Amino acid sequence: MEAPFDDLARLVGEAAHRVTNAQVSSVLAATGSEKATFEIIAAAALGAGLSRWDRAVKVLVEATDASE
Amino acid sequence: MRLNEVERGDGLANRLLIKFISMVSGMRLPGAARVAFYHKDFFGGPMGAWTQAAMRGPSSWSVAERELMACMVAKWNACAFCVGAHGAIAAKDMQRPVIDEATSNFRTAKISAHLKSALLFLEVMTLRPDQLKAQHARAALNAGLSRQALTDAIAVGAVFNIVTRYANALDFAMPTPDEFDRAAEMLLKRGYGS
Repeated sequence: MEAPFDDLARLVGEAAHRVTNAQVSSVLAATGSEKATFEIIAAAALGAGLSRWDRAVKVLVEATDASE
Repeated sequence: MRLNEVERGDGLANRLLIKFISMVSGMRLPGAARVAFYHKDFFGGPMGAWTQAAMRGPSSWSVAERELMACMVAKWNACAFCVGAHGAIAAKDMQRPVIDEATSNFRTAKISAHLKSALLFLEVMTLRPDQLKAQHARAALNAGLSRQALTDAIAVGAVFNIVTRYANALDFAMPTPDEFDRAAEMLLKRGYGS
């Protein structure tokens, strides 16, 4: 991905509370589409959540496999 | 709300629906509900189904306990909207002072040892996922959580690590405490699915 998409996606993943109006507007201007902008935000959020899910389930399996 | 189309609704049917619900409820429909209606096939539909399963599906955790977990993930992700929304729902069953204590310092709050041990795990999962290890899971299991209970908590944690991110990125408008309270009643009745 290129900036501004990359910048917005990364910040949504790392610190979404720091996303600014300007960043979202910049992606909106680059894509020309609200749905596309929403999709970038949703995909970045999903990535952050699902990677945590994956990690958490793996450590739980590891913890229970070791004890069995 | 940073995207006008999410705010208004996509398509005439959704715009009318948003206006109707706002009129009937006597309050502005919260941003989270507007996202649930938006681009439904891509996101809102499946996300709503997953949230409903995690938050209202069969579990040894009560609804209030899961709402407090969501509230805490929101706090860790600096999402004031979700702290307000899910704190209000949790407070319908647990006492408001307990919710406030937990958001201030869950380690010393008057919540069950099981819930505390789940929150200890979820805190690392949320804030330092790269440091999450088997020892964190073992600590929760040794504190008496069943494997299923920890899995259920992980599901809540995953969902709200997603929700808080789009809530912040889209900059949901903050409801008043009274609006959060009314929305909490609706969410307890209707749940998250569409």
